Amino acid sequence: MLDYVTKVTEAAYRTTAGDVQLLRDHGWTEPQIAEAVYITAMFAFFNRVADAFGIPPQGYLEMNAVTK
Amino acid sequence: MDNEKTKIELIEDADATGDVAAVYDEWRQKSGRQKLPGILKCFGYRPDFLRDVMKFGDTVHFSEGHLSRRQKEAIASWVSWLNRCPY
Repeated sequence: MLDYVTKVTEAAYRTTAGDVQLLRDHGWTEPQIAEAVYITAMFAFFNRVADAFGIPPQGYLEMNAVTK
Repeated sequence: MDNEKTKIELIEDADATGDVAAVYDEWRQKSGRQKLPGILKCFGYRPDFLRDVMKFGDTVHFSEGHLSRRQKEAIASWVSWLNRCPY
């Protein structure tokens, strides 16, 4: 799935029906594949906005490490 | 201003007024947190759109769906790395 998501991120126009069939062969359902594309595209949106504005990391990893 | 300067100025929590302040408050009440995440403040110039962005996020990402929250976070983290987004 992450290989597929990489391709959608870097070259969505190059994804093929064969890529999707491979996901089905690995047990992913059509709704799950569709939702993976939504999340991938959503973060393409948020990543570009965050990078363009120059938002610094919010330290969530450090925060979680402290509370464990 | 937040401790670290952003490339494009943000409407910070303390500077928000009118509808911007209203939307920021809606998020605080819903989340129970006080300080808005940086990504949301990027949309402070269009509070109407910020409401849509929050709903968009909640509907697609911050909820169980066909994929689990864990699966969604894994995809989001991987894609964010690919997009070179430290945030």
